Amino acid sequence: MKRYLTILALALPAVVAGAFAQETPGVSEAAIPKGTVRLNRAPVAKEVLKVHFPRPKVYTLPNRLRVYILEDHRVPGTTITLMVRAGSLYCDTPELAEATGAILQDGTTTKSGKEISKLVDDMGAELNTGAGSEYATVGISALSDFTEPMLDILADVALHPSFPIDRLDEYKYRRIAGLPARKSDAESLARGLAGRVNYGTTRYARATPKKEDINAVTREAMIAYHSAAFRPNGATLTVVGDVNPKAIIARVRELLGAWEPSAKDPVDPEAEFAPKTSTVVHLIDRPGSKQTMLRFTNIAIRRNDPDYIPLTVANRILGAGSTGRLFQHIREEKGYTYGAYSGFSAPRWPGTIDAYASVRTEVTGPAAQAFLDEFHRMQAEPPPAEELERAKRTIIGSFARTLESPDSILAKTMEIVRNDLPANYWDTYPAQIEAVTGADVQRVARKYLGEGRIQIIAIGEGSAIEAALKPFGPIQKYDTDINPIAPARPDGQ
Amino acid sequence: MVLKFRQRGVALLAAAALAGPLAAAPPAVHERPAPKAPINGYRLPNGLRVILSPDHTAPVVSLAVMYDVGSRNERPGRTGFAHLFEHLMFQGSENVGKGEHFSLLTENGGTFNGTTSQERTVYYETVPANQMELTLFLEADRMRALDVSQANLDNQREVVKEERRQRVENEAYGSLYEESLKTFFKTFAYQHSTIGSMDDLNAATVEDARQFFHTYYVPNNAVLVLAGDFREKAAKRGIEKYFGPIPAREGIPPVDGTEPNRAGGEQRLTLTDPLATLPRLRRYYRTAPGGTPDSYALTVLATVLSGRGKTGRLYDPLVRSHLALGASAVQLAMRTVSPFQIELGLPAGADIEKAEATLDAEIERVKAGGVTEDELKRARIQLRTSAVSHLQKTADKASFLATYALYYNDPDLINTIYSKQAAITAEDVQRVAKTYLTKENSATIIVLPARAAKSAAAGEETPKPEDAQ
Repeated sequence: MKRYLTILALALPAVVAGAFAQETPGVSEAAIPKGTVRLNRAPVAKEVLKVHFPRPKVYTLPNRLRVYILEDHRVPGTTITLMVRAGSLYCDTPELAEATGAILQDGTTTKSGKEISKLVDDMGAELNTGAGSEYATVGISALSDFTEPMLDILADVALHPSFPIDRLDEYKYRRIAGLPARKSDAESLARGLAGRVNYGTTRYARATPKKEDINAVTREAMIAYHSAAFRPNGATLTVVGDVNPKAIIARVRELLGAWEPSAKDPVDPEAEFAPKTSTVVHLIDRPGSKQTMLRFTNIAIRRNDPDYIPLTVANRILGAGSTGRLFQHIREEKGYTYGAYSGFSAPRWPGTIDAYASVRTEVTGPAAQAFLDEFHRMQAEPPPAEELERAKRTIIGSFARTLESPDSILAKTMEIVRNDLPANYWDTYPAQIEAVTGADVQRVARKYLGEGRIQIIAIGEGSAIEAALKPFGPIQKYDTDINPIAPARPDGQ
Repeated sequence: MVLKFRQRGVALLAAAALAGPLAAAPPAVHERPAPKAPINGYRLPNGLRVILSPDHTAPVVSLAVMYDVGSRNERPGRTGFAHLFEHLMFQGSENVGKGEHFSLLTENGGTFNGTTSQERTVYYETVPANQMELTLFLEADRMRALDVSQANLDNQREVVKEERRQRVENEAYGSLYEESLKTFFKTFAYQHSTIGSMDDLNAATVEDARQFFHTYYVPNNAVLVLAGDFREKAAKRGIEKYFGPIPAREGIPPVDGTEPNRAGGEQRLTLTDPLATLPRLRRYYRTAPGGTPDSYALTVLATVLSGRGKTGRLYDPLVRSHLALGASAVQLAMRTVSPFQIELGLPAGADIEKAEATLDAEIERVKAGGVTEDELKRARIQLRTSAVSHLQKTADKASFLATYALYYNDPDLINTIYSKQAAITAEDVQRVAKTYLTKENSATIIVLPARAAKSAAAGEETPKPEDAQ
């Protein structure tokens, strides 16, 4: 069933993305997609709608909490999200940040977990708390009639959690009980392995939870971590919907004004990842698989990298959606898969570029080759002028749809805030996209999809696909806990 | 993922669930009125039903064209055909080249999709307001003159087979949906899955596709909904221009199969799943079709059992007690006998018997003692919240309007469904629980992980392998 006004997802840098490359013997004729047949008979409006996003009202409290309120009266719903820089990146102990975030809603100094649940459900609200890499998040949404009580609950849960010990036990039980499901899901395995391959054993890898780490979390550690990390400096509170900003900010000052900042701002752990120099095939055997989940991955850029703009265009051409080369070639022409795409994530640390498809086991080799051919082609030649123009028009043209929901409008503002982009970023964005040249696209393709840098991830019926994948690089196997089985090669780990 | 030519089981069965504004329940706080979707409906002379719902708050337009054809219209030996055909609808028509549909919409700022369920096939586009005419052109061109070719069929057949592998065969619990259909429904029309079997997909011919197109893809078998930022005059003119000349065709065969109201005895099935790592239990009851008072009462009952958070009836006895990892209930509204579905996600080594006995005890408790006013009030506010959320995006609006028009001949249900749900009393809920939630009227399916099953299978029923390889 549908979720009411979407709550911002936890602060995971959404993995989307991709491309990369390895040495290939040149693009074979058959590998070039036949392309779209354009009859050009459809009535198309030439102009692209110019779009300006409404800007939220911005307040900064004396404790440096930043508050963004976007008033939108179309639908009587409100979504409130508090994001605190208390994700797993800032936590020395594995699983502690996750547990702390999750249990926030399970009791406060004045209310039991049960009372909170009842208050929330009586409003028909959704309350979610949790921690991703960067942020711990408290999100609540409901009909706007309940805006004030929603704020009260959010502030209480974020600032005055009691971390009841029985709820911690309950959390541990549930998190551990859910672990086996991760091991059977090809997508979870592929993501976990991509994290390991790109980020090694650093916190950026978002490693699969380990039972012993979950069990080791204590109530005392949660209280200490909450006290240290849940601070208003670096935090944002967003309110969107059918609300009155004046009333909101007055209430926010009452509830969160006395929240004490920490002496030092949180500091990101070091995030320099040496580029790989040779392609390795990273394989997890998943017996009973009917398809191989293929993923091609490489470390790419931070959100504020100037390459973000040309990479956006390059990704659009390569594989963002049904007009991308990957979809057209690997699905529409070859029929190897239900969908082949690329994408990239660009958080405040180096993100990844990825390309992926689930392909039937028998065509694992040819499908992998088809990906490599497309990566190669991106580097070998600039995109034809028409394809480039179409890609740019696609990117700019989709802006109008953002206006449909206040949540998506606010998300655009928060992208600026969280990545320290200029305030007029979206106003200048179309012109920046327009300025991208074919040579720019080729340059970033070479840089991020270059020879040897791309790593290949395969989740499938091991015995049936190993031989097919051998030609693409040495094979490193992992178990379903994402531990290397044979000794890892120094470069491919 | 950008594209979802989907036919995902239960999610689609559920397509016709909630929507609507305004309340009967009196909460403590002043209730703001929900927005009302305006509805201007008419028919073209060729029988195409048109619904216009203007909304000028964002420069966006959504078009939905819903055909009254789904997998229930398929014949034996051609399962999966309605959905395979849906894929062909994206492959080009007289004035739209192969791949051009994707690129025209994408490059002009649009999104699109198509989905097939047992009961209908829907196509929709959402575009910046100045591209409305493009969407009308694209939908009309393929309704009038689809390019059905052997090459397109062969290619999309492979794509759909991959879709089947990805969603059914390579996924934990992938076989559960198909087995549920076989167990729950009694007629061929509803018993087979929308994705179909590999053999039947392989058997489909170009001639089948041409015949299917001529039979079902006709204006008198479709509903067109335009929602969003358009001028009515221009919209009507465009609809007349592009869809007006498409001829009506009679002779649409009726759906072959009337589902019996009652199961006529309890059914049980145990599956072993090679990809699952945790057990799962699904329970179905045969209930009233969607759009009926009983259906609304069952929706309220499901909401009371499930809850939105931890206050649902099933939570404490099943989830907090660790008998289950999760427990949910939902009424899946269809145009025929509809499933009331309960699902328990179970932990490794679960005491399944005890979990099921506990579930049964909770069902009996509702039948014996009904639900409280407090629970009812909570269910109402949750349903109102859902209803309001459906009125935000034009694509959702278009989809609900089309569904309500096609299924119940009542597009205004988008505005009134919540008041119907809010009118449900505690007595109604107890009555439908007593009427439908009986053992003789139930089907229970248990999925065991293959490995666990081997060690613990003694005493369980025979695993049914079937498509689960």
